[in-house]
Amino acid sequence: MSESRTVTRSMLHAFLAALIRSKPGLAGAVILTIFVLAALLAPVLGLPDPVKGDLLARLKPPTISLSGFGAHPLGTDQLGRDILSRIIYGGRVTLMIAALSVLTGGVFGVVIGLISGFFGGWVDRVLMRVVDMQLSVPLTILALLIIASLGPALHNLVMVLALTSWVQYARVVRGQVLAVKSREYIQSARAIAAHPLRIIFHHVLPNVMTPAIVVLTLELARIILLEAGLSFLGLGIQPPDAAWGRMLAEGRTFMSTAWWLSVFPGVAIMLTVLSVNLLGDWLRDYFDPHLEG
Amino acid sequence: MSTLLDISDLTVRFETRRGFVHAVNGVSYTLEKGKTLGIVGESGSGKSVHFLAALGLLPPTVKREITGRVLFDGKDLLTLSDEELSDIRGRDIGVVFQDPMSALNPVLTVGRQLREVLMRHQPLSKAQAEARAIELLDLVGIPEPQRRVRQYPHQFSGGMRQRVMIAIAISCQPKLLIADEATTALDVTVQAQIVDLIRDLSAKMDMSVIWITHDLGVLAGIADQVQVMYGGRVMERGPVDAIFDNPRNAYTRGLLNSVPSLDENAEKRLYQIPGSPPDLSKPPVGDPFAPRNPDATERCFAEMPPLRAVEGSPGHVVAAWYELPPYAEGSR
Amino acid sequence: MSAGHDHLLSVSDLTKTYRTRGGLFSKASDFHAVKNVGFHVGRNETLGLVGESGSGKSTIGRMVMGLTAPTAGQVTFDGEDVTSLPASRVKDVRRKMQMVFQDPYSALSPRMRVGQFVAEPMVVHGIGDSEADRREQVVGLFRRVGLNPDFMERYPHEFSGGQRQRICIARALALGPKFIVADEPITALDVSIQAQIVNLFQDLQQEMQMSYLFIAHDLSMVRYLCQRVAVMLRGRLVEIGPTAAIFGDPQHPYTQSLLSAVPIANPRLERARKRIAYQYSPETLGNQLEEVSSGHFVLK
Repeated sequence: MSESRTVTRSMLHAFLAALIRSKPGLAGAVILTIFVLAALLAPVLGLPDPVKGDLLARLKPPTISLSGFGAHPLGTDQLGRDILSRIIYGGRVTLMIAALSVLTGGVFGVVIGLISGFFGGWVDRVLMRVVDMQLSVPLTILALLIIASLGPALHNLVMVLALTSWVQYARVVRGQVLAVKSREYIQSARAIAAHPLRIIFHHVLPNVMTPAIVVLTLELARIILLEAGLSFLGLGIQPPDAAWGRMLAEGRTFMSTAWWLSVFPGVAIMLTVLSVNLLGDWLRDYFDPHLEG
Repeated sequence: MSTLLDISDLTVRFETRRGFVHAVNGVSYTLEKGKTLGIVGESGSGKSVHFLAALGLLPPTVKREITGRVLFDGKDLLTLSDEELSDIRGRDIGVVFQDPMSALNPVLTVGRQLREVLMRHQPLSKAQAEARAIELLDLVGIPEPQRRVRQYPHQFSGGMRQRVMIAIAISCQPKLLIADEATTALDVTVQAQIVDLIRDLSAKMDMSVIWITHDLGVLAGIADQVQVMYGGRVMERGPVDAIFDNPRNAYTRGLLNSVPSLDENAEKRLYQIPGSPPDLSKPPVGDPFAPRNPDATERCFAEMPPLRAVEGSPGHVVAAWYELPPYAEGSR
Repeated sequence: MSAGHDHLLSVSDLTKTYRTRGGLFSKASDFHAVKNVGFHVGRNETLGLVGESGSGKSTIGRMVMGLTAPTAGQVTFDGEDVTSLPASRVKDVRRKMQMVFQDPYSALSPRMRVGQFVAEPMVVHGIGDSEADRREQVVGLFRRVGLNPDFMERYPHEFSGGQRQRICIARALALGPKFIVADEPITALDVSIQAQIVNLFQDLQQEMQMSYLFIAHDLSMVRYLCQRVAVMLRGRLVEIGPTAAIFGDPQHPYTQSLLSAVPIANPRLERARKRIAYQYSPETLGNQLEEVSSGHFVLK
């Protein structure tokens, strides 16, 4: 027992050491950690209320400068709400939705891809027809329809976003499973009479994870953008709660007079997407045993 | 007798994440016009890498450092531009690789691929090139060439595909044909046919051949000279009879002894060379084979032996600090 | 060939037919990958199964292992018909028969440490009391196949082809089988390493009293390992007999052609050698195995 704990600890050490050696990976991890920490710690950071506005301080420009932060470092919006505070609270919502959707869609998609590729035959044909059907439906419209009929609650949003996402995993994973399945180590596992589930989880899954992780980083970025889009259309998180997409939408009307309303949430979205991609690239390399030093 | 190819001190190093890999270390040899040189070695011996480097065929993404001189027909290939090199490849030097399927374009007919090579290097009209393509397929022993010329690579068997590759390689009557493990992936009966084909073509066209293989047995029937490579170095070279009758290097002797015999009265236990090939990212200082050689002397571990002439055996050179006892087949 | 012997493995009338799907311009048709093949392997014996690509030799290996279902015929192993095995018996049979594959580069699970890979059969079959106990056994297996047990924690890509094949052999031995199907285990290896692996198979057979079905694409190595040899051509068994008879007195023209194609390491003999060409035609192949001398059968 204690031996396995030491092994786990040394594996974690190796992971962190490798992360620190990689500049892009580290940059991605640091940016993402800052966003996640800020989101988690938002209530104890002593920020102004993100929902209640100060109508006397509407559309104040950013006050951040070399001399200090000022009362509203990133300015205020049309209702006098602090932008920095809204971005941090909005990050809570946006990141949580994105993470939950990506995980739900990812797990579901990978499982479907594994089953479809490994068992083949009619199982495969049925599942792949479902995938084709889903691909032939415009996803944004589908999402709009579902949200419009079920209402914009958080769990509905996660479900819809996951629904738009699983197909990508399923297709990529299935293709990879087909390639892996013909390898002799799968035959070898069958030769020792290993249970199909053992073969799937011990021999197939580890060898299809790399492309799945790549899809995950792309999907996380896409989902953040889609969620922003839905919020932009008024079908995401409802006012007065903050979400990055909504902030972007609300700021649009003030683009010419108060650029900070939309630029800062836009930068937040961009940085998150970028850091996820950087981290994803590095993860893919790290999990490739051929590149291990 | 004139020299067609003169390689001297060819050295190839690859830069990888883990440092330099010393793939080829000071390889020198010459090849006469019309002769066949067999090069034998296992993976990592440098037998393929050295010619890929000389012909500019290493993948462009690999960071490499190539030094030395490769005189082909009087020109140093290492100083030529990519353009000049690709003119020489295909026209003066033909290459046949192990896997014909990956060397042929699956969506073009065999005839089209032959025509393209012909028309790139020679002033031929389309009709002339087509006629020549049919002639070539006939020459390499493909039945019904008029029909086959319009077919796609997947319609050919492995052996027939390799014949197509040979037809492409010899299409411009090259002075040199390089066969790199050209029969390794083929069935033995097909291998025997391809060996005979190349031997005949070489004689008919007065073409030099470099036959690269890991199987010493194949060279017995085809080579004039045999060169043994190991760890990126030349270990021994000489006329084919001398190498098989009187190997002076321990690695050559080990290779020869581990070739299986068909004689039903021979020993029932194969000779095996102990150990495994060297890691070329940490190249040994001395003789790379020394750790696997029971006859190695202290000097073998400290210093790489230069090639020296074998007494009483003209044209036979060996890299060895030691002297092996006289060779009797099947013993060591 | 006759029944009643206590053979470890006997195969009779084994047939595998693939139905090719009809396309737009072609009719569906049957392709016989293996047709009416019968042989047996005695205890502590090695039978060489030799054939070129498309001869059906690997399909036979997989059918014997139960990895591919035959279209017709029986495979009897240790007195039990393994082609119609109830699921509950599969595990027991697999403990007694194992397989070593051709390509050591694709036979190892790339993301599994090689020690785990060798231990996996024991985990699946519940052998060994604890992880530590299995680890101990893996150390023993590594030593037995000539590998340094310190390498247990490494990944496959850190090993050479020969070492990988040793790892695969160690895994096949983990269950203590009586019988191993070796499907071209040396084809992908360098010549100097081939000899090492052939000798390892020899040593293991003597130490552990095993039988092998040794599948090969030519006759060169077969002589060192096999007491008897079977020659396959396009799904048919054309000749089977004691190794000395096959090499000394080959009867079928295809066997003669195979023998004449193997290069011999003697330049003077090799230059003077005449190859025996064999033209395949289904009509001339014959239908009946005839015994030409004791235990030596030829398709006529």
